[in-house]
Amino acid sequence: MTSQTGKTKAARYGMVVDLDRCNGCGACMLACAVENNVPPAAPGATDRTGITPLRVYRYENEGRVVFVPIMCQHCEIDTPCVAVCPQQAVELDPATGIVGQIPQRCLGCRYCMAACPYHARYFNWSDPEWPAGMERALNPAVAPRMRGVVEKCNMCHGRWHEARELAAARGESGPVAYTPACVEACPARAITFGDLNDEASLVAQMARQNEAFRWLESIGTGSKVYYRSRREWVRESSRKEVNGRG
Amino acid sequence: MAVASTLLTIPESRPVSDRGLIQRGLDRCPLPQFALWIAPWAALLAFGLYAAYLCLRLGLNQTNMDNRFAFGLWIFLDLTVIALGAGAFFTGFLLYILRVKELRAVIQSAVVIGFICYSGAVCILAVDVGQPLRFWYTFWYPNVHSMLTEVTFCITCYLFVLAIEYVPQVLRNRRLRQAPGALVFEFELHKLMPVLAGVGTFLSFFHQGSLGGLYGVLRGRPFAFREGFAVWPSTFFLFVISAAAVGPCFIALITALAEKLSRKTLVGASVYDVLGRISGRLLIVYVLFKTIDTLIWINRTSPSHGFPAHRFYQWIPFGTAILLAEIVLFGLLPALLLLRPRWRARRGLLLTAGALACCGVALNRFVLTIQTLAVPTLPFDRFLTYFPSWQEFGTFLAVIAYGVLLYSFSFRYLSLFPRERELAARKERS
Amino acid sequence: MATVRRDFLKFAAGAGAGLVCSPLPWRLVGDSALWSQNWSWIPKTPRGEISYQPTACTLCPAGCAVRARCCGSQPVSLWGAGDPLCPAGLCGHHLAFHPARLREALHGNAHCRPEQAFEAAQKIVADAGSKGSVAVLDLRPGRTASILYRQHLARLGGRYLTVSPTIGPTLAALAHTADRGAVPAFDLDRTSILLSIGTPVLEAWGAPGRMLNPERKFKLWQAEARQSATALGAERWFRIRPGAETAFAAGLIAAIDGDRATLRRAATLAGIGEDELSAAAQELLKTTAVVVADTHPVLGPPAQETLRAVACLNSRLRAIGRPGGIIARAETPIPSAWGPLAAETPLSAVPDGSLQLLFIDDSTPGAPLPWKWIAAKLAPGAPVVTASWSRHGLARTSHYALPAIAYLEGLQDVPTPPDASVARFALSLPLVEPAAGAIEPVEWFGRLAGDATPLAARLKERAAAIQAGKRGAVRSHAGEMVAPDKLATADTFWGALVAGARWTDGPSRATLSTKGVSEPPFALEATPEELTVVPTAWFGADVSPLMTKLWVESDLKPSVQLVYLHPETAQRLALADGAIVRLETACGACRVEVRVDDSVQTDALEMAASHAWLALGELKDGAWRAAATRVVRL
Repeated sequence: MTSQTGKTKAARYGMVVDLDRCNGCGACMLACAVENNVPPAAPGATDRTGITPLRVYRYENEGRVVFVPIMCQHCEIDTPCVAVCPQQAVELDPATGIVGQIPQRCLGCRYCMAACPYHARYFNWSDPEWPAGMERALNPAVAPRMRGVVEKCNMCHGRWHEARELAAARGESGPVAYTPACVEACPARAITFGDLNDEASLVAQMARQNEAFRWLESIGTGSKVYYRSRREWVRESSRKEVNGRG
Repeated sequence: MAVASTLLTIPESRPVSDRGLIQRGLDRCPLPQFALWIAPWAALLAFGLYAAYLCLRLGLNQTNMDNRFAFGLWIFLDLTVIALGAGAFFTGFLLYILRVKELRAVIQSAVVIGFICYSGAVCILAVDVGQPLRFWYTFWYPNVHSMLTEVTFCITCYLFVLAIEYVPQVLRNRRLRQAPGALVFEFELHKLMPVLAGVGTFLSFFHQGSLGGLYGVLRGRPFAFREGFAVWPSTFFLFVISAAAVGPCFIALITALAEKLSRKTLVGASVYDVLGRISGRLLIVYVLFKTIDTLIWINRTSPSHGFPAHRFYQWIPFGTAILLAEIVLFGLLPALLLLRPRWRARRGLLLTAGALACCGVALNRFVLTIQTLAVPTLPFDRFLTYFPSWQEFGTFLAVIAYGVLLYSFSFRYLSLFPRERELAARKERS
Repeated sequence: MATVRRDFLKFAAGAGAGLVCSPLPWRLVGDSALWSQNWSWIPKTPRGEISYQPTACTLCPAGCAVRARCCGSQPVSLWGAGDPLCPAGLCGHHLAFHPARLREALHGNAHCRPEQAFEAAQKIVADAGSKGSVAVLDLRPGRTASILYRQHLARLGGRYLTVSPTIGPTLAALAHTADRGAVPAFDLDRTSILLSIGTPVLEAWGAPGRMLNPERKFKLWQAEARQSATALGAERWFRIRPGAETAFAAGLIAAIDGDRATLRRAATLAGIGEDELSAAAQELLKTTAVVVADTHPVLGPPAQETLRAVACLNSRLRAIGRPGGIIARAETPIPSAWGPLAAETPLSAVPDGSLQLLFIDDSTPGAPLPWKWIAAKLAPGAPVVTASWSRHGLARTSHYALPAIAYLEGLQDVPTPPDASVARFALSLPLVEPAAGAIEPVEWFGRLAGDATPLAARLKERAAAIQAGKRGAVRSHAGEMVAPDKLATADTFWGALVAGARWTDGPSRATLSTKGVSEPPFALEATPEELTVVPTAWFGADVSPLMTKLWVESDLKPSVQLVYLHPETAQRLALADGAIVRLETACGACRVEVRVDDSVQTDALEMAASHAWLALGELKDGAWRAAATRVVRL
């Protein structure tokens, strides 16, 4: 986007999730589902076929527990899903850094799901169904998807649009400040959101601290969602070789 | 003449007969017997079409694929049949470009096999994607960075090429050639054959490779990710070599099966020898490259991504035995069997080696599709397993049935094997 | 004549080229794209003007202020105004559409006339007179509706029952220490250490936005047998043995008193080292500390002996009557015209078989309640009328079930939460129309008692009484102080409340004394040897179909079909992950799948709080406990 003078600084929206504050209540998961018109579980859905654009994992290691909210990490280095989509149904927006999925363009080949190492993408295995009347309570700002397409977190792009329109109406230019649903909903204020390009912002400062880390740093996806913990074992587990459970 | 004596005498008064459709001089079983052969495959096809219908109507929740196993039985099968169908382009390349004349005896059969494999794969893909009506988006909004775009373009074009190569055979059918213009059309197409072979080779090279590239570029999956040359990971080249190696094996197997079922000799023994020899050489090259590639992956690529390779093999049934089976049992062993002329000469050994090689390719595609998705990437991930649902099996079986049916009809009504008459006469005389 | 075929081919080729240059194929291509994006069965999102309406959440006693984003008149999302909401609060607007909603009157699970229940109850009320055999079980005490129940019951001579005391068992145990007209309250704004014995402080106690606030002033110490979310989030977690709550408290008391023998015994029973207990006691003494042992939503209140020990411990820590500990607060004013109110009685104190009619107010989603507990109190043939939000649970076993108006459908007020240091009053404003036939439970019961006044009128009366008291402060929904001159009359006060303002009381001059607080010794029971099943975290009622995100579509919350075992327990029972077992107790049985989990306590089995779990248990000491369990491998 450009202002009258022609040059506008692009934003890189990112997050820092404080794992020491997250207590696994799941408020963020529900706020995300409400905001993005995610349907309730289809008949026969399981934790492997459900749609949870934001999903909190309970990671237990030798009796120690940490809750890890995982959403699309909005990778910016050779974004794996953007590179592999055969019809450009997902793009890294250079103005915001948001990796935006276009469900209306999606063929449903699920190659992006194979490419994403964070398992942050979800396929609509069934047509969405809401109990009778509940479609009246859908969020008007987000289009419901149909079956056969992939969806994921898009950092509440609809809220960014709304904030941008309001800012434009006020004659402002430059990166806008807005709050995604999960950030607003977290009772423990565990998620900090903002423009990583703004060095003075809280999110940029937190991302630079020693306690901050990213999952799968060794793959080099350039994830814009940082995590932080004062607990050494949590940071260590992000660097340890995969051992998995089960 | 000798031909007349070999004709099956079918009483002219028999009411149901397709004699008029069968090529003159060719010996085919009576229609009722053929119908008996076709019936179970037709039933299987019907069942499979119903399974596919369920998936299209009710959605992909009919399968056992899930968010973790985004690819399942169908993708694995697509890759395998396309690799097996590579015999079509490779035989064309060998015959028309490298002038290996023995292969003229099997080129038409190879084209039919190729057509079956590719059209079957495309049909499965139509069911596998969530929104089949949006297939044209890939052509309209192509992503030049994506291997899958390349695959889509090339497979579609190559299917078109195969159709053009198949159509002349159909037009040469005894009844159809009587249609005005059919022979002219067929003749014109025939002149294009070397060009088509060249185009087919080019397209095939790229899509066989891109299918390998699909997995090799997955940076997020250190199990599958490989380094390579420019934009092409090593799996690109490994897939091309393995497909070229296995294509001739599959043609040999199908030819042998057709001979067995029809109780005729359809090709000379030298054809098997040529197919086996070419396969053997390519297989040994493949095994060599695959071993080098695996060693590089174990020692450099995977650890540099933070994942020691042995960690991927700690879950049953994906232990290191799978890796060894793929390279040694289903790679090195058939290569050695096919390289030695004395072993190659023994039909049983040759066909066994061919079957082993085909299994090896299938196992390779399986490992890259299923094992890649089964192994966890994050510490709070789990190793998961997947088993296809009956709808998935049904759709797969529909393609098998379709292949058998199409090949059966082609064999019966078209002249797939140009030397059939000559070999039958020779057999009659001896 | 020229060859037809060639002409035809030329024409076809030309037509093809011409078509490509026309809009037709591109239009078709574009239309098929639109067509494949808009199937008729995909719902269209609502259209309307977006507005933000104030209200308050009634899904739990915390009563958080809510900002409802509405499209037209329909709430499409709920957000906290000030403090963030909990998971249930975020999707409370789905309650109106929940498939489990009770939408018609039922008699024994069959559709009946709505008036049938009223007629049956009226007859019993007429017969029963004032013998105390008519009762109301209020599952959401503390509201104005609760006061009204007590008023009606005083008139009928009936009983007002709760499962757990309105102000919480810890404070209720100290109620006798407060001056008349005052009740004890936690003063957490000035607390340094809150020691919780088994209370799910960070999950289901005070407002989550307040408890989980990273800037919260007090440190939380949690004493609990399992690693609950509260234990994980606490600054310190004492992993006590199951059932050793009394021993833990008694151990701290003994450490303070210097009673070595009791300390040793308590330490052994609790599974905590003597030194650790002593050090903890010293640290608590040095600072402003207070101890809470409140109701677990599923287990119920702690054992009586635990409450006695906790009261004594609070006394030893000099928390009673001191800022930062437990102080006295006034109750929210009640209009004197409302007359006498029936006293609050715990359900467990009702003599078995003594009730002729029981009315249950189950209008807010809450933890499952065991039917056996209630059935024991009924006289033979006595009916239970339940006003419920849900078709399941109590509505299924009651004789009459009536559809209740739920959150956002009717004007309600929110109670003073268990962690508040002063009384408060706020309205939960309705945003949607209730379903036809739904009743406001307290109005229904009022009619039975001969008082047909609507609840809204009563709320206005109460607001007037509060305004007349001229105490406390009012903050607008946005959190700004409202100047007293804007609240000069009852009408302006009511107008502010209806716009979402909230009233909080001022500090009270009432005091608490320490006379009559329990003293040691406390009965320290050894924990039973046999295996029992304890419930895992209660994660809130099933308020919205979207809550499947938490336990069906992910494995964040425990599934009701699983039982969780510590690896040592699993090894002892020779069970592995995925084994199917039947859990049998003297009271019931259920079939579950095993999961082995390090964080589970070592000598018990854990299950999600559910009806299956309830079936295994029995009422013991005022609370629900699972009986000794046998694990049968299937």
